[in-house]
Amino acid sequence: MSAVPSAGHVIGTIAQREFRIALRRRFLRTILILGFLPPIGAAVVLIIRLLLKQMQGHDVGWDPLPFLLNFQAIPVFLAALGLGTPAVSRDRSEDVLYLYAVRPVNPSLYAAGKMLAVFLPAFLVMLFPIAMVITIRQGILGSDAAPLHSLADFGRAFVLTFGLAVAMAGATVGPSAATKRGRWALLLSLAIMTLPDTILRVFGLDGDWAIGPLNVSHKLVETLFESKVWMESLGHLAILLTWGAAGFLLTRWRVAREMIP
Amino acid sequence: MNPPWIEVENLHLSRGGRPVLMGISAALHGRAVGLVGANGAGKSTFIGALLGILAPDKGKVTVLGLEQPTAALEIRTRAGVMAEQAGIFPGGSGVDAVVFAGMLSGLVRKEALRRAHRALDALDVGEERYRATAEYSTGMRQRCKMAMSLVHDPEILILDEPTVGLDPPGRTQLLELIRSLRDEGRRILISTHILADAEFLCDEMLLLDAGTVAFSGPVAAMMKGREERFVASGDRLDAPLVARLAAANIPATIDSAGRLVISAIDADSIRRFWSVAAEAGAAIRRLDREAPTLEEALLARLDVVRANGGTR
Repeated sequence: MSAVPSAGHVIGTIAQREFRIALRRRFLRTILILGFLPPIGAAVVLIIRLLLKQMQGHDVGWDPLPFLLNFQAIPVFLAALGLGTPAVSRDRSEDVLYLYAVRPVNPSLYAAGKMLAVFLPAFLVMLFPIAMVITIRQGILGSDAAPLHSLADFGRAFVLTFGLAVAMAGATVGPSAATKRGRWALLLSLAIMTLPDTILRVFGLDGDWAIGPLNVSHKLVETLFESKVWMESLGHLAILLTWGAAGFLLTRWRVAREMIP
Repeated sequence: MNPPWIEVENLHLSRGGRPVLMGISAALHGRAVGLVGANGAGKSTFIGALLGILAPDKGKVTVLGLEQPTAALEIRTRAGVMAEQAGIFPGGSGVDAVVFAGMLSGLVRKEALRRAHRALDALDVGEERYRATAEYSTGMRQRCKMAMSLVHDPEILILDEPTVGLDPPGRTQLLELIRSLRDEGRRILISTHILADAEFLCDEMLLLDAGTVAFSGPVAAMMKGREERFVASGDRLDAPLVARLAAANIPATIDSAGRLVISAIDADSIRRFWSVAAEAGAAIRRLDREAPTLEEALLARLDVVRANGGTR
């Protein structure tokens, strides 16, 4: 007798397939490769800092981490667009949601699988370079960099990366579920990234807060790494997680309506 | 008799506020059950209820002893479904789609790949399995869909119009495969409009008509009372001739094609038929012995049900 596959197996299977399909596109492969260029630049900055210190005898104090945290969101954003926007719209336009329904896949598992296909690459493309730079910084600067400081930076980077990857998954997979055309999903997704903060700005409501996933992630970098205001950081993280939850719920709702004969 | 593998009691199911299934009850024991009925009779909804995709308003659905929709995921794991309205998992080759279907049903990748090739081999899909599914012909799509339903070695198969779009050799090959799966002990439910397929494969029928059961039982029971007959075609095959034949104790009717259908098949009746026809001035051009078909039996059953206002 066959056992019902675990939720993890089903979610992982859907995510794996989605990622394999996406990797066939040159655009996405390029973005993923380019995503590793900023940390290389950051490592070069650290090496120059070390050389200057050795030659001139004083530390210029250049820290490429804050720059990298903001800059790395761009390849993550592009990768998320490439991965997430066709994910559900393709299945809807090909009319294959019923194929999932006749297998041990319910709408929640389906939505979670599609979200994971965006979340995991986005998370790794963001966190891995940051972890590399923190490690290189610690290694190059040696005793000048406090290990605890590096660990704290890594913890903060983990929180930022988690929130950003969840938001990117929600803000790209959700629009994909709303339409049968990948291009419309792409436009919707871009609108989600830009329109909310534009509207806030038009009404003069911008300031310490933002709504759009990308701008919220920049605000989170500020509050986590610069001003270190924890309550505001939590608020920004909550907004990012809300984008993720909204994308998941929209996908789940849309798919549940179409997973029937 | 085997215990029923599908049991439905007083199943009511509405969709969009419109009742689709209205008090369906059936206990299906057959190794291969044909699910037949006109468009809109409720076949797809019935399959949806069996798989726990659609929840009944009222009534009870049990498949392999598991009540639906409570055990929906377990049934979907143990069932292989070939859906007519859905295509193939997009974005890759045929073998990719079949492997993915296997993995969704719980197989690990390596095992899914091994079984996918075995299923595609059984369906005579050669190197085409490595081509993008978007380029497949209808026949190739049907084969790939069948492989997707078989890859995880299911206990039961639910096939919706499996032979649609196949050329005659492909159709025969697929029917033979389904029959061999049935003979291996798998339970099969086939929803089809091609009654010749149902006749070839099924030992039990479930006939739905406007959301109710018009017939449920063995094929033999459906064919009961429908014996071999002679069919005559020619000129002046009319009601007076039927009346003369009746007077000579030869039961006969005129069918919708204007042919004379003679129910008696013994040699003496046929000898008397020739004399009565000659006396009546009928010109018989052709006289064939015909076996009753499932289609006729089904249509006759539907006529009876409709004449009785939906009573079984």
